[in-house]
Amino acid sequence: MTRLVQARALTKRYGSTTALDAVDLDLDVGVTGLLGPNGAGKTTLIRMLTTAIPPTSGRITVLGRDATAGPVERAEVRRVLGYLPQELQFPRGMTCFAFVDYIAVLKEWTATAARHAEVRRVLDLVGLSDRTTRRIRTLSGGQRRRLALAQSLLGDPRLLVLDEPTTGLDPEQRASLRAVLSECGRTGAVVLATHQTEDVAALCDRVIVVAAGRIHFDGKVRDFVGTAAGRVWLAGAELPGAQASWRTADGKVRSIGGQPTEEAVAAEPSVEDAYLLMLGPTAQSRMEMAA
Amino acid sequence: MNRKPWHYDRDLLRRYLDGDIDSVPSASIEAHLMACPACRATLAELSDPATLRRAWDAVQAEIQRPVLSPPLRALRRLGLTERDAVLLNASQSLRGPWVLASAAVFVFVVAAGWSSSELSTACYLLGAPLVPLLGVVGAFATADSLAGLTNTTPYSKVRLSLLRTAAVMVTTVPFVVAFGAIVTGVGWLSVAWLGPGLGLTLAALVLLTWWPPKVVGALLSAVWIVVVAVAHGRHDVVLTVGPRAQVAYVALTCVTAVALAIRIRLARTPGGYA
Repeated sequence: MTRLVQARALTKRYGSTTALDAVDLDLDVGVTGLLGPNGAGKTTLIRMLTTAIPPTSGRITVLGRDATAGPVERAEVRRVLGYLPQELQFPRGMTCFAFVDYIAVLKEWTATAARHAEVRRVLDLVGLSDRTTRRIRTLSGGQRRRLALAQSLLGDPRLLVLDEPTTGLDPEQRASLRAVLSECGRTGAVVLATHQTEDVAALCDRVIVVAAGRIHFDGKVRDFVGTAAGRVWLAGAELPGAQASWRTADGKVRSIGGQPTEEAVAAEPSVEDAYLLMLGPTAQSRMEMAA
Repeated sequence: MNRKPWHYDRDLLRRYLDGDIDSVPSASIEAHLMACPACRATLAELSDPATLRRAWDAVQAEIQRPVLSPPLRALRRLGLTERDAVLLNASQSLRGPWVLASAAVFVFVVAAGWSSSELSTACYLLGAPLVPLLGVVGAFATADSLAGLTNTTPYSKVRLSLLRTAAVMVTTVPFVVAFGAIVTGVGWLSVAWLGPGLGLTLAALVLLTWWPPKVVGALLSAVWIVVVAVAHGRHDVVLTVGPRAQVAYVALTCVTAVALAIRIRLARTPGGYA
């Protein structure tokens, strides 16, 4: 059976720096979370998966089409792709409708009436149907993020790649977005690069952890959380040797790793705990920055 | 004393919906509908939801249709497709150069009116080739902010680049030539600048496959400014568009055209990674 996405020995070098080192990756239907500190190679991996940049070596196929073969094959890959970059500098004078319409033309929606109907559909999906004629410069940060997301949903892409999609969204908007993405994950591969471990816990059935240009973990979310079982504790004070610790609302100190004392009680681990334990202090500082 | 409320009967409202009522009684019905929720409800019952949906979609489509700039509207009338108009509207490939050309012409006018003939000629030869060059670079600079996203779409980057370039050339070249023809002392120079203009624009397209638009615009503008300044310093600015120079521009055009073709074959276009 043809895999939706298959990457083999994917490598990207910038001069003497190796951003991604011989990564193998398979993606099928479902939502996959991509976790990793800044500079880990996450965005480089995403940009190669979305054909924005070519790999230095290695191969990516999407539905059997080789994205590295040449412009014709690459165009075929791009026809099944939806992409939300981490940062998008909009032409701020455009209206929401005009912006998504522009991307729809670039995605080869040729018939005007069908294209406009599709633009209205995706704007409705992200809750911007009442903002279609508003200029982008008048939108709030969260509305702009939803607008960026709307273009990625054009044509129900088989491969949907989203870089930090929930940044700037309020809890209600995030919940609504999760509903949209889980629906997309029923028929296609959705890749979600994020610092928000709660999004991974709530939405993803698989998680990939990237650090220093390599994949450190690739598996089910529950297996990932399981790597932290018996290593997260609640006690009156920080445990000796703890990787990270903080005082919770009920006055107990939650310690990740470290030597449990007699009074320490094992706590239910989370995706964040597993992530911190796997990547160590670097991950902690990155997550604090992201928060 | 309150008047007793009255309502139109269903048959009349049905005929109104079908368009079988003349304009004067229709206006009367519409005035009544504005004030009568019961008749509005009856009208809603009689209306076909599919028809209403189509009408509402049409209204929405009309409201949401992006407003095109005047040059784009003119090109639409001349046969530019709706899709190409959307693409050009997004990259401001017409609006930006139009403003640039207008500003350049304003500078020429001031130079022609307030300086010696030699200086006005130098100003014209300095500015004219820069208008299409900066117009093309500007069109790519506007679109560059979205390049990370648009590069991942299947639309041909080669066609997109050529469309933007053609739009800029169509908008600026006739404007600057026509103006040059009526500026005292310029004469044949109003077309002579096309040599360096074309060479510089093609060179920009090649360099855009490597460097960002701002760098390319600044670099090539600086080169041309130095060329004209040196010639002006020798009191022979016309030399920059003389026969020998024109041969050099033809060579530059040929070399850059070949270089652009090679870059495109390597999947590197001015519009991004093809």
